[in-house]
Parts: sequence; C-alpha cells; structure tokens
Amino acid sequence: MATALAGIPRAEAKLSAKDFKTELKPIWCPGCGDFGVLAALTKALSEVQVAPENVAVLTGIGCAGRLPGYVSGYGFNALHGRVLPLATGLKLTRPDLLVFAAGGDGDGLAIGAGHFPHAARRNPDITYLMFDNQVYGLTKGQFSPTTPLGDVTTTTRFGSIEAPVNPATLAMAYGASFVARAFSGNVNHHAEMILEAFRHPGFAFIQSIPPCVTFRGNEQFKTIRERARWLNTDGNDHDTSDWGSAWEIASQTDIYDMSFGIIWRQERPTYEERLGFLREKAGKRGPAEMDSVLDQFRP
Amino acid sequence: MPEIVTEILPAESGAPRRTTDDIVIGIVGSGGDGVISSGELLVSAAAAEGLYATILKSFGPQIRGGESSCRVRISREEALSYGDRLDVLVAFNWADFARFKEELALAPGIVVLYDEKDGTPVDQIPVDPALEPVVFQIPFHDLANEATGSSLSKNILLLGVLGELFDLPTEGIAGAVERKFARKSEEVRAANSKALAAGRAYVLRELAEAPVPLSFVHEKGEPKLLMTGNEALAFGALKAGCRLYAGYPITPSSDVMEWLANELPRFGGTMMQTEDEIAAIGMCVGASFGGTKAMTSTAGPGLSLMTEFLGLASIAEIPVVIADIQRVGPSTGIPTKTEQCDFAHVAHAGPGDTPRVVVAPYDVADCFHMGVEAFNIAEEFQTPVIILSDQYLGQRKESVVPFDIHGWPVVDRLTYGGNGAESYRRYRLDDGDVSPMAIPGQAGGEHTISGLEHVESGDPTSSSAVHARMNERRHAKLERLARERGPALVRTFGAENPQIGIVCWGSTSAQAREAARKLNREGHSVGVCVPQLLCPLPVEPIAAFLDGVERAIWIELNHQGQFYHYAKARLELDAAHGHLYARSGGMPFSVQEIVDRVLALAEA
Repeated sequence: MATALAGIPRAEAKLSAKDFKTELKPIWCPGCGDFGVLAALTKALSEVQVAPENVAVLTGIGCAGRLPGYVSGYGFNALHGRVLPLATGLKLTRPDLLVFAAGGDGDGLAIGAGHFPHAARRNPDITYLMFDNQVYGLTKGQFSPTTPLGDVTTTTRFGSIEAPVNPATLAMAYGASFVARAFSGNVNHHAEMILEAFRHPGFAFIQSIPPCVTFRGNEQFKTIRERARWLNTDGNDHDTSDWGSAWEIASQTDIYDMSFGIIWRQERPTYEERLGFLREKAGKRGPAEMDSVLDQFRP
Repeated sequence: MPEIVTEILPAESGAPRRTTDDIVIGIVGSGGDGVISSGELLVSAAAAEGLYATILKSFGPQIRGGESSCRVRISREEALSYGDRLDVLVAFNWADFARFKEELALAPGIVVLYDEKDGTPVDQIPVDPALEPVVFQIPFHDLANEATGSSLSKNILLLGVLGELFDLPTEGIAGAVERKFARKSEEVRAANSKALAAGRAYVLRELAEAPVPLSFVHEKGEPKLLMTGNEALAFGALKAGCRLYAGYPITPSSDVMEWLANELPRFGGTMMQTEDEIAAIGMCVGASFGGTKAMTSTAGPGLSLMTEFLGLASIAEIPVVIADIQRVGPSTGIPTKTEQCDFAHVAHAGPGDTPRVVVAPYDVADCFHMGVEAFNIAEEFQTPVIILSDQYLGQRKESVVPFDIHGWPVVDRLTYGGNGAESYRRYRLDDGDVSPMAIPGQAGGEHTISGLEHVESGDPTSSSAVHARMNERRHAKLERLARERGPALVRTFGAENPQIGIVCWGSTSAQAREAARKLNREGHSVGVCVPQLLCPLPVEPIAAFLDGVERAIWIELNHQGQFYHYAKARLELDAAHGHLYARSGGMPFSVQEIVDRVLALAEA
C-alpha cells in the first residue's frame, strides 16, 4: 500500500497557514462560508509542510471556482463540472504533486455529475472537496441538485419540486475510498478533515457545508453550530470501516441534523499503483525503444 | 517512375495473357470465411517482396460475423489509391457479394473466382456479361476439406490459387502465412502449408490450359513497412513524446487508442479510457498543465463534446493534440464510412475568438509525420492542435517506404528557467506571442490559470482593453505559424509548372495524385497542391501554386465544400481558379471521377 504524501516534496522553511494564502482578495460576499474552507485548506497545507510549488489546486466554475487564486502554489480554475478529469490527468502524470480538486454542488452533481463516479472508482490519490451550499451562488440564487424539496429560490418561486441528491451516499455508492463531512464554521475540524484526506492514499471526498449567507440566510452558521454532532468526539463513536453505520451517517441530508467527521475509509490500491503493475506487465513487450516499436510494422 | 507494363505476351498454354504490375483483387465472403485475413496476408507478402500494397476493408453492419469484403491493390509503383476497379473478384458466395456491389466496381475482362459450393450456375452470376468476365468455379470448400480436414483453411487455399493463377509472389505468400502463424501449433502450420500447396496444385492440375488473361510481373525489392493510418498517427504521437492518451471508444478512431494502450505503458506512459470525450480531453489538458505531452482522438460525435475544452486550452495556452478520424456526419452519420466533413467544425468550433491549429495528413506515412508535427506545433505555440484524418486514411493498411524514425525533430515547450528577479508572469506581453510555461513543481513559477480572461499574471480581469490585447497575442501565434511553418506544410505533386491545378487536402490527395499521374502520362499537365496545414491557412504558398496554373479545381469529400469556402475567404480566387468539386462521402472518390472532372476543366 502506498502512503499518500510520501512522494511529495516538503517545504524547506517552516510555513504557516498564512504563507499558503496569496495576496489576492477573494470576491466572495462578506460572511461567506467559503472563507472558512479557504482557512481550513491553508491550515492543512501548512500542517503537511508541503512545498508550495508542489501544490495544485484545481476547480470548476462557481463561487468555489475562484479558490485557486487565493492559495499559494499552482492553480487552475477550469471549466464548469470538469475538475475531476483535469485533476486525474494531472495526478497520473505527476505523482509528486499534492492535487486538490474542488467545486460546488452544482459543479459536481449537476453539470459534472458524470465524472464523479469514475474518479471515485478509479481511486487516484487526489482530494475532492465539494462546497455544498445547496444553491447556485455565482449566478445569483438558482436552485441546485442539493436544494431541499420545497425551497424557494430565484428559479423555484413556488418551491422546488425536485428531490435533492445526497453527495455523501453517492460518494460511498460510487466507491470513494474516503468520505468525510465538514462544516466551514468549524475551521479546526474542517482542516483536520482535509488533512486526513491528504493522508488517505486514494480518492478522498469531502462534503463541505459552507453556508451561503446571501441566498440561504444568515442563520445557517449559528444553527448548524448549535446542532452539529462531531463524530468520534464527545462519545460519538463511529467505526469508519463499518459500511452500515457509515451509510446511515452519510444518509443524513438535513444540514441542521448532521454528523460531521470521517464517515467512511477503506484502503485499496490507488490508480497510480495499479498503473505501476500494468507498466511492469507491459514492459515484457519489449524495451522502451522506438526501433523495437517499429519492428511490429515489418511484414 | 517506370511506365506501367501493358503488353500482350503469349502464355505457355497458348492463350494470350496481359501482363500487369498493378492488380486490384476484391474478396467477399461471410464471417468465418477468412476474407480479411486473406487480404492482409496478400499485402504482407507484397510488402515483404518490396512491392507497394494497400488494403481497404469493408464490413456489414453486424458487430461480429456477417458479410465482409476487402480490396487489395498490389503494384510496382506507389499504390496511391485503393484502385478504382477490380481486376479479380473472389466470391465465396454471391449473396454476400450483393451487399458490397455498390462499393466494388469491376473492370472489363475481370477474372471471377467463386466457390463451387455456392451453386449458382456460371451464366447466372451477378456480374454484367458486357464486361466479358472470365469466370472460374473452384471447389474452395471441398479442396480445403480434402487437404486439411477442415473447410476453415479455404482462405489460405485461396492464396495458393491466386498466387499460381496470376503469378503473384508465391514464395512471398508462403512466407507471409508462415510469419502470421509462427506462434501457432505445428499442426496449424502444417495444415496451412497443405492448404497453400493444394491451391497451387489445383491450378497446375485443372487450370493449366485455362485462358487466364492476367499475369503479374515484378522484381523483388527492399521490404516495405505495413501500417494503418491510425497506427502511423499513434506511432508519430509516441515518437513526439506523448505520454498520456485519454479517449473514449468511437469508430473509426478506436484503433489509435488500442495501439497506444499496448505501447504507452512500457514507455512509462498512460492510456486511459475515460467516461466520455469531455473527460478524455480534460485528462489531456490536466496532464499537459503538468508538463506531460498528451493526446486524445475521436470522430465527429466525440469532437462536438470536446469543444468546451478546446476553448479552455486556447485561452489558457495549453498544448494539447486532438486527432479527429472523420466519418460520415452529421451526428452519428455512417460510423464505418469516410467523409471529410468535420473541417468546418474544427476550423470554427467554440465560442469566442478561439485560436486553434488544424493539420491534415495526406497518406499513411504522413500520418506518422503529422503525429509528430502536431505535437511540435502544440508545444512551440502553446495551443491546441487538431489532426484531421478520416476513416479511409485511418483504417486502410498501406505499404510504407521504411523511414528513419530518429530523423524527426521533436520540439518541447519553452519552460520557465528559474527564479527570476521579478515575479513570474504566465502571459507576459513582452515575451511576444508565447511565454515560458512554468510547470507545477517549479519553485518561483507558482501561478493560477483559468478559462477567464486574464492579466499577464494569469489573474482574472474584466478589462476590455486587456481582453483585446490578449486576443491579439493569441492570434499573433497563428500568423507566425503560417509565416514560419506554412511553406513547408504545403506539398505539391505532379507536373512541374502545371497548367491545371488540383487543390485538395487529407485522404483525397491519394486519388488526386493518381489522377494527375494518369493524366500527365497521357500528355496533360496537372499539378496537385496539398496543404497539410489547414488552419491557419498558409495563404502565400497556396497562392503561389494557383498563380502558376491557368485553371484550378478544388476537390473535397463533403457536401458543402467546407475547406474551399474557408480558403476562398482568405485567397483572391478568380473564376478560373475557383472551380469546386465537392460531394458527400461514404465512398471515397475514384481516380476516374477526378480524371473526368479535370478533363472537363481542361476542355472547358
């Protein structure tokens, strides 16, 4: 089994969370939950002490899409819904990079939903964080695939008539080898979740809840904080290798009645490891030389 | 080039025999008849003997089994096209032939061989009597059974018959069969030898006195390579340093992917079969962002899905290569048939002023060259490059004169040299139209890119002035490319200082070149201009060709004349140089079709 982070160069000098922030001022609304995710991410990066030049933050489109510009290292704010192919292609060819992919609930579960299962089952050693604020923020308040049934938004004036999907159970069903839930109102816990995802060898999925104060109301932060349950603290014991109880926790959809923490964790070979085995087998075809390739065309 | 030998020789049997050094053989049968295998063995034998050969395969709509046919052309001179008409037709049964009749035009005096088992009387076979066919019923099925105990070997037996009957290189054929089955059991190999010998013996025994009108003459030469256009293209990519291929299966491009799935891993590379074409090109852009050369290939329906990433790679200035093995469109069209119908899409695809480069290989060997060149351009100019091939070029197997694979220059992108005094700017305007690319892992080069319009650092901007300046920079590359590489990427063939010019691109140039060869031998003066670089259009070299001819005709295999209209908007074409012959695909052009058009133009 590979250990994640093993092949990734570390920073020479001691770096703080602040060192992983750029000078660019976020475009997010005042009080936006995304600030907490940014703080948690830079904190986790500083704890790994990864060399900033070996960090790659990739995103789709949406409020979350702007994240790369605010984090030191290499960034790519790409297309709507396409962050997972991009991140997978990068990680397979550059195992020495810490690859962090992120996007919103619309990005990952509407337009990009087709990529999620395949990234999960292939199990590349990347972290995928979904900013699940249950609304389209950047386009100003339309309903998203995780908006609860009946909610009023700019495109559901009479209440949403679509049943929402659940990112955490989807991730488990798709074969994600690590599934966690985090709340941006608890930066320390959130940073811990990201750090655990970094340490996990394989596809690590985090459902993050960063409240949208502009379109989902000001009270979300306060209410979630009051009602949140924290797994494996305060007697909230949970065995992360127990599929049944993991599924039960993952099935929670009400943000005011949710458990946060690592839900599911499973060790299995990463895509990169399997690729290594495949290359060994393929090496028996002949040496890696062009002349040997040419020979197959001789009659 | 030597003249085609066409003289009447007295055969030993007394009947007159026409000698030829250019023969086209069609074979049709059902699944299990081994039709394709026979054809492949014939071209393998020919290539080993140093002859030129090409094979075009055709299948019914069934996934497996069903009828299949192949058309083999063997010649002493370069076999440019698949050969308009069959000199020899082999039918294991006539029911299968009926399905390919539209594709298999027959030459007058055609020699027809069919299996006695089919049962159709000689005077009732579906071949036009006006062609005066020379027909033989041969008990392929029974002979194979007698010789080897199984009728399965009848396709090998057929090779023995063909070799002896038409003086094809029989030793070469035996060698090809031996090579193909070298890893099989002693039993299988012995059965093949018996089948071959039985075929030859049958001809010597039963047909020694028969009036066979055709004899193939040749001398042994240096062996040639045999490859398909798709294999050559994939090989070119590998040579160029491609180490990630991501793709989604689609006819007729999947063989590019299958070939690289075998070859990339031993070079430390990766072939990934993705969930769709969007992911395929996404993987490539991700890999290239990380400094790895990457390619995907597809056909029309997949290409439409790739358009959004094409735009991203353009604005973010990321090298990536996309091969489009065109098939009949629009939409799903006819998946197994050829057409040059995606030009308009690749030339214009994507919202915004999206720069892109399009190159088109003109024969199988050129698929290798363009495979390398596409990467070289993508790397040097930091932009997506599309290779436009098609089913006819990609899936035909052709003899290729051995070339030096080490002789091709490989270009790598300009990368960031290190920690400069000032902070790194990915799109620094003072650098000109490309800037050194910092690759993740390079300290001091950290930056963020996006599909958003950006300032020099890569940070997003909404400034219209900056947008205009960045658009200029992205399009300046194309101007430089046309200027610097254009002259070398426009090929001309045929007569020197021709009077009549043909302008065509991609696979159509095969038939156009052969038409010019034929016409020039008949005293005409025809030249063919084949741009390999289509976008940006190399205006000057094409204009120079047109200036030198009195009249010109543009030929392409699509309904609208897509390339013609694109070129017309960029060249000053008068009526004499602006003739167009464009027709829908399905079947590639025949040589005669082009000859007729050129003659009509010459006589107009």
